[in-house]
Amino acid sequence: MKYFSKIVLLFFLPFFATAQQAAPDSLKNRLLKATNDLSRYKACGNIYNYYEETNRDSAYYNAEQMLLLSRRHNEKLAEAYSLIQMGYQLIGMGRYAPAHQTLLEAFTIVENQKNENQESWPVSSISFSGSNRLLMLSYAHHIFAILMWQTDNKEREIFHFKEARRISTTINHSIRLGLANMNLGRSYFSIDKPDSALIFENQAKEEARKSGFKKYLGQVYQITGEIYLKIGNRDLARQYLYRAVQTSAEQNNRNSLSGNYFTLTKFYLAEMQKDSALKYAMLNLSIIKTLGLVTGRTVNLGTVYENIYLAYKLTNRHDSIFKYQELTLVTKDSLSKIRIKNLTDFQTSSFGEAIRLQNLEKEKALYQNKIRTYALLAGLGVFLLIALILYRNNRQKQKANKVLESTLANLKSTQSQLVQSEKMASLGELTAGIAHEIQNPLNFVNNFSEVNKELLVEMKDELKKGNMEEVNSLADDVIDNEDKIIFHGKRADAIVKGMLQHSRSSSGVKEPTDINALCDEYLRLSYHGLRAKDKSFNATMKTDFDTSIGKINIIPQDIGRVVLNLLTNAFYAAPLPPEGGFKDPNYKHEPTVTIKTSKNHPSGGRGAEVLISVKDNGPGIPQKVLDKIFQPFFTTKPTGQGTGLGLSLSYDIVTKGHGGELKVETKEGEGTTFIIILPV
Amino acid sequence: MKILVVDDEKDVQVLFEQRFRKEIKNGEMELVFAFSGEEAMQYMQANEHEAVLILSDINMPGMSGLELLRHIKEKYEKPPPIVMMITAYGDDENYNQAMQLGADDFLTKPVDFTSLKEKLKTKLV
Repeated sequence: MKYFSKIVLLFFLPFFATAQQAAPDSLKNRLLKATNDLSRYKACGNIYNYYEETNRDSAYYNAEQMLLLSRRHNEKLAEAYSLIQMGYQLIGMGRYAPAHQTLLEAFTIVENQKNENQESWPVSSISFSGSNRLLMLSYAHHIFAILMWQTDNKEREIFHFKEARRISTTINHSIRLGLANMNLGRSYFSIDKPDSALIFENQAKEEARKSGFKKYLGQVYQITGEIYLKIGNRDLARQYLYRAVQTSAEQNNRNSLSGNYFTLTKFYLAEMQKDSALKYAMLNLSIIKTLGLVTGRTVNLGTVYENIYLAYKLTNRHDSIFKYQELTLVTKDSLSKIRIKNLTDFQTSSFGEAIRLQNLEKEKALYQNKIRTYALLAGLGVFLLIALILYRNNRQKQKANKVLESTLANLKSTQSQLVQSEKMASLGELTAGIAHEIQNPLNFVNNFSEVNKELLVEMKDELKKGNMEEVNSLADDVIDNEDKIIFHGKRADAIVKGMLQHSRSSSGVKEPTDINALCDEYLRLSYHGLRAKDKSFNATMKTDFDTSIGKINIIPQDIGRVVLNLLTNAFYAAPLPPEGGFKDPNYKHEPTVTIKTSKNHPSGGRGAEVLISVKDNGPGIPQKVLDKIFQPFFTTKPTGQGTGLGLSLSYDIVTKGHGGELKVETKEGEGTTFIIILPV
Repeated sequence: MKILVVDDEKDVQVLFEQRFRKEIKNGEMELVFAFSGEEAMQYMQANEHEAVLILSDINMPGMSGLELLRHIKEKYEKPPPIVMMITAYGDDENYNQAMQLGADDFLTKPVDFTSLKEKLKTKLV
């Protein structure tokens, strides 16, 4: 800045003394009276607006003040707004490199979506209710496009103007849209597309009409004039150029006015109208000096001098021709040097930027590689950890397995002990019955023996008397009684043998057995066993034996145990009331247990079968219990009264031991029937 | 004297008839047999006050001897027949229960007929 100022001052010192045009006092007073930073920021904004197109140095200074104020309060969007304005002024000064840096800084702010709601400080002289971030993004693209235009990058110029136009359309911002249209028109005109350019300019006019923002309308008219000039409508062109001058003057847009004058001068030079050409060239010179707008891309001090020189050339005022020719050459030469330097700086800067971006990319790639390596190491670590955990788990499982194996062995031995104790329990149930049951045959054996003794004594008497008839009759009685003695003696023997058989472990040998006799025997034993234990116990026993069955091959102790178990259960269940009691209180329940044998002839792929069913008229088995009754240790009897192994053992004996089936049919409230099905 | 003998075993009839053959021959005794509690009840209803003495087994299918005893003692108050229980199950509990229900005596199997005869004599005198 200082360097540039010095050059300008060196060359144009005489003009600058009078060139400064001060801002109105009202604006300055507002700044002086401001009591807080927001007011100061607003005041600076107003002064900036005043100088924006009239004095680059003052505009830049105020934008810089706005930047400092907004940064102090961390007002991000206000900061971006200030940066863009500074950038715009730097472009006007020809200082492209710092302009570029400033705009990039603004972009980083406005492209960050976190700054979306940073809207407390105004970022526009006209209030706007939409997204201020997008408004600033549109503005940044616009100014960046101008930078591209000024540095001869047509492609990016159009791209950024289009971006500005697109975003302004999105947020429906008429002013920014109008300005983007105006500049796009200029861009398309410069690439020799006057038709497209005219459409854009007409749209720009329309937006200016809509928004009432006419600060740059002069430029719109000027470009429109130039387009008409190009397409050969000189009258319309002149009209637009005059309207341009008029509008720019009204809006105090001296930058535009300078351009308007420049175009008008060119117009009259082409028309060979020396007076008009000279008039507008001289007006332009006065403006350009007051502005400090000496370094413009098209309109600058050199080209303005050139216009004056060309205008004089149409006259015969040789001293003036010579003077302005000289000024033109010197100014153009110095400006060209400055421009070359500025462009070189810009290229270096943007190249540096490119390098910086490239380095960033490299760093990013390096960082990503690092991350990848770390991720890989972390993954490996996790993998090792998992492997370790799995290894430990495996070890623990092995240990647990050993414990489980020994536990299982213990369980098995416990189970066999339990099975034995179940046998003993059922034996216990039997013993009481047997011990007393044996008294019944003994009663007959003893008494018939005694009777026989008496009869024989009597017989001796009758023999002495020679009463042979009576002797014969007595002998018959003795023989009858002896039969009874033998029968009941055998009965006692069978009872004892049965008990022994029951207590013995199963021989596992099948032998032809009379199933009906077996059932009858166990029915009596279980009934009397229960009666022995519980005097109040009573139940009706019914038998229904199929006498055609004959002997079948079974392990008698085992099937006997099953029958006994089923009978014991039936006698236990038969007197019980159904759940909720008997419906009729006067009903007298008669506990009844029925044991039935039958034979099935082969049919439907099944061989001949013998069925033993044990039926009670108890409460039945509830469905929820039914699934479990064959499980070991399941019992519904009070604790200590049942081992829960009876049905489980029975099931094993019938299915595994005899290849048969043990079925259960039950109806709640009506009773239960267990059916042993044995293949013959 | 009519004696009702109740037992579920049929051989009991032969046994009693032989052991009391002299008394039967002399006309001192008349034996009637029932093979279940229910049968005994039926007989009692049909031939009221005929039997003065009842000898009953306890463990029988259907109505047990103790139930029969209870029925007889409840129903036939004046004068109730003499009821003597004869059972293979001579444990205390059985005995006490029989006595509670009003049994006049309690005998265990195998039956000692000599003592039974003496008891019958004393009871009936």
